[in-house]
Amino acid sequence: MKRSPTKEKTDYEIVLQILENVDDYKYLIERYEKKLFIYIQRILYVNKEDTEDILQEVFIKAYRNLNSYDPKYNFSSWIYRITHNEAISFLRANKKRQLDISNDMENNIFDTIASDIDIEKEAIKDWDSKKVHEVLAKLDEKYREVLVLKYIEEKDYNEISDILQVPSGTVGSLINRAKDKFKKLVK
Amino acid sequence: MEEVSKNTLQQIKKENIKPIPKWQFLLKDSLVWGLFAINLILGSIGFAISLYILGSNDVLLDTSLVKNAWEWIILSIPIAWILLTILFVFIAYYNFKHTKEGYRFTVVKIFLMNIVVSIVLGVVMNGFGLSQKLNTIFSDNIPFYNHTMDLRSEVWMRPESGYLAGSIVDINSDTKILKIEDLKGKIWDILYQDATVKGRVVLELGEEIKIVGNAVSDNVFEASEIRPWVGNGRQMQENS
Repeated sequence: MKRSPTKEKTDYEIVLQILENVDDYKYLIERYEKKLFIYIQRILYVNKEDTEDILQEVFIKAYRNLNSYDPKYNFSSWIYRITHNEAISFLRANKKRQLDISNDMENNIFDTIASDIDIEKEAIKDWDSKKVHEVLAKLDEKYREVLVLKYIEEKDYNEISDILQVPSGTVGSLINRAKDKFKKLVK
Repeated sequence: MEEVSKNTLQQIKKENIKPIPKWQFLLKDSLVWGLFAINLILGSIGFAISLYILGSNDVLLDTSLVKNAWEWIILSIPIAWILLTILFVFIAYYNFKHTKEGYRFTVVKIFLMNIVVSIVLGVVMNGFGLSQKLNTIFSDNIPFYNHTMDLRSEVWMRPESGYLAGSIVDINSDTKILKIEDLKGKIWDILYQDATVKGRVVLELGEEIKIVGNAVSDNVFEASEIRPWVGNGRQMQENS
Protein backbone atom coordinates (compact mmCIF):
# COMPACT_ATOMS: atom_id res chain seq x y z
CA MET A 1 0.00 0.00 0.00
CA LYS A 2 1.31 3.39 -0.95
CA ARG A 3 1.82 5.47 2.16
CA SER A 4 1.64 9.20 2.19
CA PRO A 5 4.86 10.65 3.62
CA THR A 6 2.78 13.14 5.61
CA LYS A 7 1.44 10.33 7.79
CA GLU A 8 4.62 10.37 9.84
CA LYS A 9 4.88 14.11 10.05
CA THR A 10 3.79 16.08 13.07
CA ASP A 11 0.92 18.52 12.79
CA TYR A 12 3.36 21.40 13.01
CA GLU A 13 5.48 20.04 10.18
CA ILE A 14 2.38 19.85 8.03
CA VAL A 15 1.43 23.40 9.07
CA LEU A 16 4.81 24.59 7.79
CA GLN A 17 4.22 22.69 4.55
CA ILE A 18 0.79 24.27 4.13
CA LEU A 19 2.28 27.74 4.43
CA GLU A 20 4.40 26.83 1.41
CA ASN A 21 1.75 24.96 -0.51
CA VAL A 22 -1.97 25.23 0.21
CA ASP A 23 -2.70 21.85 -1.39
CA ASP A 24 -0.98 20.16 1.54
CA TYR A 25 -3.83 21.42 3.69
CA LYS A 26 -5.76 18.31 2.64
CA TYR A 27 -3.46 16.18 4.79
CA LEU A 28 -4.29 18.13 7.91
CA ILE A 29 -7.99 18.24 7.03
CA GLU A 30 -7.99 14.49 6.54
CA ARG A 31 -6.31 14.05 9.90
CA TYR A 32 -8.96 16.00 11.79
CA GLU A 33 -12.17 16.12 9.76
CA LYS A 34 -13.70 12.94 11.13
CA LYS A 35 -12.86 13.73 14.76
CA LEU A 36 -14.19 17.27 14.44
CA PHE A 37 -17.26 16.16 12.51
CA ILE A 38 -18.21 13.82 15.36
CA TYR A 39 -17.32 16.43 17.98
CA ILE A 40 -19.59 19.03 16.33
CA GLN A 41 -22.44 16.54 16.15
CA ARG A 42 -21.97 15.53 19.76
CA ILE A 43 -22.10 19.05 21.10
CA LEU A 44 -24.55 20.70 18.70
CA TYR A 45 -26.90 17.90 17.66
CA VAL A 46 -27.06 19.18 14.12
CA ASN A 47 -27.70 17.34 10.87
CA LYS A 48 -24.99 16.22 8.47
CA GLU A 49 -25.31 19.22 6.17
CA ASP A 50 -25.01 21.77 8.98
CA THR A 51 -22.10 19.85 10.47
CA GLU A 52 -20.24 19.93 7.16
CA ASP A 53 -20.90 23.65 6.76
CA ILE A 54 -19.57 24.35 10.25
CA LEU A 55 -16.60 22.08 9.66
CA GLN A 56 -15.73 23.82 6.40
CA GLU A 57 -15.90 27.18 8.17
CA VAL A 58 -13.61 25.78 10.91
CA PHE A 59 -11.00 24.76 8.34
CA ILE A 60 -11.22 28.10 6.53
CA LYS A 61 -10.74 29.98 9.84
CA ALA A 62 -7.89 27.67 10.82
CA TYR A 63 -6.20 28.33 7.47
CA ARG A 64 -6.55 32.11 7.83
CA ASN A 65 -5.10 31.93 11.35
CA LEU A 66 -2.45 29.33 10.66
CA ASN A 67 0.33 31.76 11.54
CA SER A 68 -1.11 32.26 15.00
CA TYR A 69 -0.61 28.60 15.86
CA ASP A 70 2.07 28.28 18.51
CA PRO A 71 3.94 24.94 18.30
CA LYS A 72 4.45 25.08 22.08
CA TYR A 73 0.89 23.85 22.33
CA ASN A 74 -1.03 20.93 20.99
CA PHE A 75 -2.34 21.51 17.46
CA SER A 76 -5.30 19.33 18.31
CA SER A 77 -6.32 21.71 21.15
CA TRP A 78 -5.86 24.65 18.81
CA ILE A 79 -8.17 23.30 16.13
CA TYR A 80 -10.68 22.06 18.71
CA ARG A 81 -10.72 25.58 20.13
CA ILE A 82 -11.56 27.01 16.70
CA THR A 83 -14.28 24.38 16.39
CA HIS A 84 -15.62 25.30 19.83
CA ASN A 85 -15.72 28.99 18.87
CA GLU A 86 -17.45 28.18 15.61
CA ALA A 87 -19.98 26.04 17.48
CA ILE A 88 -20.67 28.96 19.85
CA SER A 89 -21.18 31.26 16.85
CA PHE A 90 -23.56 28.73 15.32
CA LEU A 91 -25.53 28.55 18.58
CA ARG A 92 -25.79 32.33 18.80
CA ALA A 93 -27.04 32.55 15.25
CA ASN A 94 -29.53 29.72 15.74
CA LYS A 95 -30.89 30.30 19.24
CA LYS A 96 -34.32 28.87 18.60
CA ARG A 97 -33.27 25.79 16.69
CA GLN A 98 -34.53 22.31 17.49
CA LEU A 99 -31.92 19.74 18.48
CA ASP A 100 -31.64 16.86 16.09
CA ILE A 101 -31.63 14.06 18.63
CA SER A 102 -32.70 11.50 16.09
CA ASN A 103 -29.27 11.72 14.62
CA ASP A 104 -27.59 8.34 14.52
CA MET A 105 -24.07 8.39 15.77
CA GLU A 106 -21.57 6.52 13.71
CA ASN A 107 -20.41 4.55 16.69
CA ASN A 108 -21.64 3.67 20.13
CA ILE A 109 -19.36 6.04 21.88
CA PHE A 110 -22.13 7.20 24.20
CA ASP A 111 -22.36 3.69 25.63
CA THR A 112 -19.70 4.34 28.19
CA ILE A 113 -20.59 7.79 29.37
CA ALA A 114 -23.12 6.76 32.04
CA SER A 115 -20.67 4.44 33.74
CA ASP A 116 -17.79 6.85 33.26
CA ILE A 117 -19.50 9.60 35.17
CA ASP A 118 -20.27 7.19 37.96
CA ILE A 119 -24.03 7.14 37.94
CA GLU A 120 -25.19 5.53 41.14
CA LYS A 121 -28.08 3.62 39.68
CA GLU A 122 -26.69 0.37 38.37
CA ALA A 123 -29.34 0.17 35.68
CA ILE A 124 -28.13 3.35 34.08
CA LYS A 125 -24.74 1.86 33.50
CA ASP A 126 -26.30 -0.40 30.96
CA TRP A 127 -27.95 2.41 29.07
CA ASP A 128 -27.41 2.40 25.37
CA SER A 129 -26.03 5.25 23.32
CA LYS A 130 -29.46 6.49 22.33
CA LYS A 131 -30.60 7.08 25.92
CA VAL A 132 -27.39 8.83 26.94
CA HIS A 133 -27.59 10.82 23.74
CA GLU A 134 -31.09 11.97 24.72
CA VAL A 135 -30.09 12.91 28.26
CA LEU A 136 -27.08 14.86 27.02
CA ALA A 137 -29.36 16.73 24.62
CA LYS A 138 -31.26 18.09 27.63
CA LEU A 139 -28.13 19.59 29.19
CA ASP A 140 -26.97 23.13 28.55
CA GLU A 141 -24.39 23.26 25.77
CA LYS A 142 -21.57 24.22 28.15
CA TYR A 143 -22.19 21.16 30.36
CA ARG A 144 -22.72 18.86 27.41
CA GLU A 145 -19.53 20.03 25.76
CA VAL A 146 -17.35 19.54 28.82
CA LEU A 147 -18.73 16.02 29.34
CA VAL A 148 -18.13 15.20 25.69
CA LEU A 149 -14.57 16.51 25.87
CA LYS A 150 -13.80 14.68 29.08
CA TYR A 151 -15.54 11.34 28.67
CA ILE A 152 -15.89 10.89 24.94
CA GLU A 153 -13.03 12.82 23.40
CA GLU A 154 -10.95 11.77 26.44
CA LYS A 155 -9.16 15.09 26.71
CA ASP A 156 -7.27 15.91 29.89
CA TYR A 157 -7.95 19.01 32.00
CA ASN A 158 -5.22 21.07 30.35
CA GLU A 159 -6.46 20.26 26.87
CA ILE A 160 -10.04 21.10 27.86
CA SER A 161 -8.76 24.33 29.42
CA ASP A 162 -7.05 25.21 26.11
CA ILE A 163 -10.11 24.34 24.06
CA LEU A 164 -12.69 26.14 26.19
CA GLN A 165 -10.29 28.97 27.14
CA VAL A 166 -10.98 28.68 30.86
CA PRO A 167 -8.61 27.96 33.76
CA SER A 168 -8.00 24.25 34.57
CA GLY A 169 -9.67 24.71 37.95
CA THR A 170 -12.80 25.94 36.24
CA VAL A 171 -12.74 22.85 34.01
CA GLY A 172 -12.88 20.70 37.16
CA SER A 173 -15.86 22.54 38.58
CA LEU A 174 -17.63 22.58 35.20
CA ILE A 175 -17.24 18.81 34.96
CA ASN A 176 -18.57 18.31 38.48
CA ARG A 177 -21.57 20.53 37.83
CA ALA A 178 -22.21 18.80 34.52
CA LYS A 179 -22.09 15.39 36.23
CA ASP A 180 -24.57 16.59 38.85
CA LYS A 181 -26.92 17.91 36.19
CA PHE A 182 -26.59 14.66 34.24
CA LYS A 183 -27.37 12.60 37.34
CA LYS A 184 -30.41 14.75 38.12
CA LEU A 185 -31.75 14.29 34.61
CA VAL A 186 -31.23 10.55 34.86
CA LYS A 187 -33.23 10.40 38.11
CA MET B 1 -16.52 13.55 4.27
CA GLU B 2 -14.10 13.90 1.37
CA GLU B 3 -16.27 16.76 0.22
CA VAL B 4 -15.19 18.89 3.18
CA SER B 5 -11.54 18.68 2.24
CA LYS B 6 -12.29 19.29 -1.43
CA ASN B 7 -14.74 22.14 -0.80
CA THR B 8 -12.45 23.83 1.70
CA LEU B 9 -9.52 23.86 -0.70
CA GLN B 10 -11.77 25.01 -3.52
CA GLN B 11 -13.10 27.89 -1.43
CA ILE B 12 -9.58 28.90 -0.36
CA LYS B 13 -8.43 29.01 -3.97
CA LYS B 14 -11.59 30.59 -5.39
CA GLU B 15 -11.67 33.39 -2.82
CA ASN B 16 -7.89 33.65 -2.82
CA ILE B 17 -7.81 33.30 0.96
CA LYS B 18 -4.36 33.75 2.47
CA PRO B 19 -3.11 33.09 5.99
CA ILE B 20 -2.93 36.31 8.01
CA PRO B 21 0.78 37.26 8.24
CA LYS B 22 2.60 36.33 11.43
CA TRP B 23 3.60 39.94 12.13
CA GLN B 24 -0.05 40.89 12.56
CA PHE B 25 -0.46 38.36 15.36
CA LEU B 26 2.81 39.47 16.92
CA LEU B 27 1.70 43.11 16.71
CA LYS B 28 -1.65 42.30 18.29
CA ASP B 29 0.03 40.34 21.11
CA SER B 30 2.52 43.14 21.69
CA LEU B 31 -0.27 45.72 21.78
CA VAL B 32 -2.26 43.74 24.33
CA TRP B 33 0.84 43.22 26.52
CA GLY B 34 1.81 46.88 26.07
CA LEU B 35 -1.64 48.07 27.13
CA PHE B 36 -1.50 45.72 30.09
CA ALA B 37 1.89 47.13 31.15
CA ILE B 38 0.74 50.74 30.66
CA ASN B 39 -2.37 50.21 32.77
CA LEU B 40 -0.39 48.40 35.43
CA ILE B 41 2.00 51.37 35.61
CA LEU B 42 -0.89 53.86 35.62
CA GLY B 43 -2.48 51.86 38.44
CA SER B 44 0.80 52.01 40.34
CA ILE B 45 1.06 55.76 39.77
CA GLY B 46 -2.52 56.13 40.97
CA PHE B 47 -1.72 54.17 44.10
CA ALA B 48 1.53 56.11 44.67
CA ILE B 49 -0.21 59.49 44.39
CA SER B 50 -3.05 58.29 46.62
CA LEU B 51 -0.44 57.35 49.22
CA TYR B 52 1.34 60.68 48.83
CA ILE B 53 -1.83 62.78 49.15
CA LEU B 54 -3.06 60.68 52.05
CA GLY B 55 0.29 60.95 53.82
CA SER B 56 0.57 64.70 53.40
CA ASN B 57 -2.99 65.57 54.22
CA ASP B 58 -3.48 67.22 57.57
CA VAL B 59 -7.23 66.65 57.56
CA LEU B 60 -6.78 62.93 58.08
CA LEU B 61 -5.43 63.42 61.60
CA ASP B 62 -6.54 66.96 62.40
CA THR B 63 -10.31 66.89 62.41
CA SER B 64 -10.44 70.50 63.61
CA LEU B 65 -9.74 71.49 60.01
CA VAL B 66 -13.15 70.26 58.89
CA LYS B 67 -16.73 70.83 59.94
CA ASN B 68 -18.17 67.33 59.78
CA ALA B 69 -17.48 63.68 58.96
CA TRP B 70 -18.61 64.08 55.35
CA GLU B 71 -16.18 66.95 54.78
CA TRP B 72 -13.48 64.87 56.48
CA ILE B 73 -14.04 61.99 54.06
CA ILE B 74 -14.15 64.25 50.99
CA LEU B 75 -11.09 66.29 51.95
CA SER B 76 -8.87 63.65 53.52
CA ILE B 77 -9.26 60.63 51.23
CA PRO B 78 -8.02 61.03 47.64
CA ILE B 79 -11.21 59.43 46.33
CA ALA B 80 -10.66 60.43 42.69
CA TRP B 81 -7.18 58.90 42.61
CA ILE B 82 -8.36 55.75 44.37
CA LEU B 83 -11.17 55.38 41.81
CA LEU B 84 -8.70 55.95 38.97
CA THR B 85 -6.38 53.32 40.44
CA ILE B 86 -9.24 50.81 40.60
CA LEU B 87 -10.16 51.66 36.99
CA PHE B 88 -6.60 51.06 35.79
CA VAL B 89 -6.45 47.76 37.69
CA PHE B 90 -9.69 46.70 35.94
CA ILE B 91 -8.38 47.69 32.50
CA ALA B 92 -5.10 45.87 33.21
CA TYR B 93 -7.15 42.78 34.18
CA TYR B 94 -9.10 43.04 30.91
CA ASN B 95 -5.87 43.37 28.90
CA PHE B 96 -4.24 40.43 30.67
CA LYS B 97 -7.30 38.26 30.11
CA HIS B 98 -6.92 38.95 26.38
CA THR B 99 -3.29 37.91 26.19
CA LYS B 100 -2.58 34.56 24.57
CA GLU B 101 -2.46 32.68 27.85
CA GLY B 102 -4.64 34.97 29.95
CA TYR B 103 -7.46 32.43 30.04
CA ARG B 104 -5.30 30.07 32.09
CA PHE B 105 -5.52 32.32 35.13
CA THR B 106 -8.58 32.77 37.31
CA VAL B 107 -10.13 36.21 37.78
CA VAL B 108 -9.00 36.21 41.43
CA LYS B 109 -5.39 35.35 40.52
CA ILE B 110 -5.20 38.08 37.87
CA PHE B 111 -6.71 40.70 40.18
CA LEU B 112 -4.47 39.72 43.08
CA MET B 113 -1.41 39.86 40.83
CA ASN B 114 -2.42 43.29 39.47
CA ILE B 115 -3.19 44.66 42.91
CA VAL B 116 0.04 43.35 44.47
CA VAL B 117 2.16 44.72 41.59
CA SER B 118 0.36 48.11 41.73
CA ILE B 119 0.87 48.32 45.50
CA VAL B 120 4.55 47.32 45.38
CA LEU B 121 5.37 49.64 42.45
CA GLY B 122 3.26 52.39 44.03
CA VAL B 123 5.10 52.15 47.35
CA VAL B 124 8.46 52.19 45.54
CA MET B 125 7.44 55.22 43.42
CA ASN B 126 6.24 57.03 46.50
CA GLY B 127 9.42 56.13 48.36
CA PHE B 128 11.52 57.67 45.61
CA GLY B 129 9.42 60.84 45.60
CA LEU B 130 8.06 60.20 42.12
CA SER B 131 4.46 60.54 43.27
CA GLN B 132 5.18 64.03 44.62
CA LYS B 133 6.86 65.07 41.36
CA LEU B 134 4.05 63.68 39.24
CA ASN B 135 1.45 65.34 41.45
CA THR B 136 3.22 68.66 40.92
CA ILE B 137 3.27 68.14 37.14
CA PHE B 138 -0.44 67.29 37.12
CA SER B 139 -1.23 70.18 39.41
CA ASP B 140 0.64 72.60 37.16
CA ASN B 141 -0.71 71.34 33.87
CA ILE B 142 -4.16 69.88 34.34
CA PRO B 143 -6.99 72.38 34.70
CA PHE B 144 -9.13 71.92 37.85
CA TYR B 145 -6.70 69.27 39.15
CA ASN B 146 -6.58 70.89 42.57
CA HIS B 147 -10.36 70.97 42.77
CA THR B 148 -10.88 67.37 41.81
CA MET B 149 -7.86 65.13 42.33
CA ASP B 150 -5.79 66.79 45.05
CA LEU B 151 -8.10 68.58 47.45
CA ARG B 152 -5.40 69.73 49.85
CA SER B 153 -5.59 73.21 48.40
CA GLU B 154 -9.34 73.22 49.11
CA VAL B 155 -8.48 72.81 52.78
CA TRP B 156 -5.73 75.41 52.84
CA MET B 157 -7.26 78.06 50.62
CA ARG B 158 -9.90 79.18 53.09
CA PRO B 159 -8.49 82.42 54.58
CA GLU B 160 -11.91 83.37 55.89
CA SER B 161 -11.83 80.20 58.03
CA GLY B 162 -8.24 80.76 59.11
CA TYR B 163 -6.31 78.56 56.66
CA LEU B 164 -3.90 79.78 54.01
CA ALA B 165 -1.08 78.26 51.96
CA GLY B 166 1.53 79.52 49.53
CA SER B 167 5.19 80.16 48.98
CA ILE B 168 7.28 82.87 50.58
CA VAL B 169 8.18 85.70 48.18
CA ASP B 170 9.54 88.24 50.67
CA ILE B 171 10.71 88.28 54.30
CA ASN B 172 11.11 91.20 56.63
CA SER B 173 12.50 89.84 59.88
CA ASP B 174 12.52 93.30 61.50
CA THR B 175 8.81 93.86 61.15
CA LYS B 176 8.08 90.10 61.30
CA ILE B 177 6.08 90.26 58.11
CA LEU B 178 6.26 87.68 55.33
CA LYS B 179 4.87 88.07 51.87
CA ILE B 180 3.45 84.92 50.36
CA GLU B 181 1.95 84.09 47.01
CA ASP B 182 -1.03 81.85 47.75
CA LEU B 183 -2.03 78.81 45.67
CA LYS B 184 -4.15 81.04 43.46
CA GLY B 185 -1.38 83.56 42.88
CA LYS B 186 -2.61 86.28 45.25
CA ILE B 187 -0.03 88.13 47.40
CA TRP B 188 -0.62 88.26 51.16
CA ASP B 189 1.16 90.00 54.04
CA ILE B 190 1.59 87.49 56.86
CA LEU B 191 2.11 88.81 60.39
CA TYR B 192 4.09 86.12 62.16
CA GLN B 193 5.23 87.87 65.31
CA ASP B 194 3.36 85.46 67.61
CA ALA B 195 3.32 82.44 65.33
CA THR B 196 4.68 79.01 66.19
CA VAL B 197 6.84 77.72 63.36
CA LYS B 198 6.37 73.95 63.19
CA GLY B 199 8.21 71.06 61.62
CA ARG B 200 11.19 71.77 59.45
CA VAL B 201 9.92 75.05 58.13
CA VAL B 202 12.74 77.42 57.27
CA LEU B 203 11.55 80.93 56.67
CA GLU B 204 13.33 81.66 53.42
CA LEU B 205 12.35 82.70 49.93
CA GLY B 206 10.59 80.00 48.00
CA GLU B 207 9.66 77.98 51.09
CA GLU B 208 6.16 76.61 50.76
CA ILE B 209 4.04 76.76 53.84
CA LYS B 210 0.62 76.32 55.36
CA ILE B 211 -0.59 78.91 57.82
CA VAL B 212 -3.21 78.74 60.54
CA GLY B 213 -4.48 82.09 61.84
CA ASN B 214 -7.03 84.64 60.85
CA ALA B 215 -7.51 87.06 57.98
CA VAL B 216 -7.17 90.62 59.26
CA SER B 217 -8.11 92.16 55.94
CA ASP B 218 -8.37 91.32 52.29
CA ASN B 219 -4.61 90.78 51.93
CA VAL B 220 -3.33 90.66 55.49
CA PHE B 221 -3.28 87.41 57.50
CA GLU B 222 -2.20 87.03 61.10
CA ALA B 223 -0.46 83.70 61.62
CA SER B 224 -0.66 81.68 64.82
CA GLU B 225 1.02 78.60 63.35
CA ILE B 226 3.21 77.97 60.30
CA ARG B 227 3.59 74.43 59.00
CA PRO B 228 5.49 72.90 56.09
CA TRP B 229 3.27 72.16 53.07
CA VAL B 230 4.17 68.49 53.13
CA GLY B 231 4.27 66.60 56.39
CA ASN B 232 7.59 65.51 57.88
CA GLY B 233 9.12 68.86 57.06
CA ARG B 234 9.46 68.16 53.35
CA GLN B 235 9.05 71.02 50.99
CA MET B 236 5.93 71.59 48.98
CA GLN B 237 6.47 71.08 45.28
CA GLU B 238 3.24 72.61 44.13
CA ASN B 239 3.61 75.98 42.54
CA SER B 240 0.02 76.43 41.54
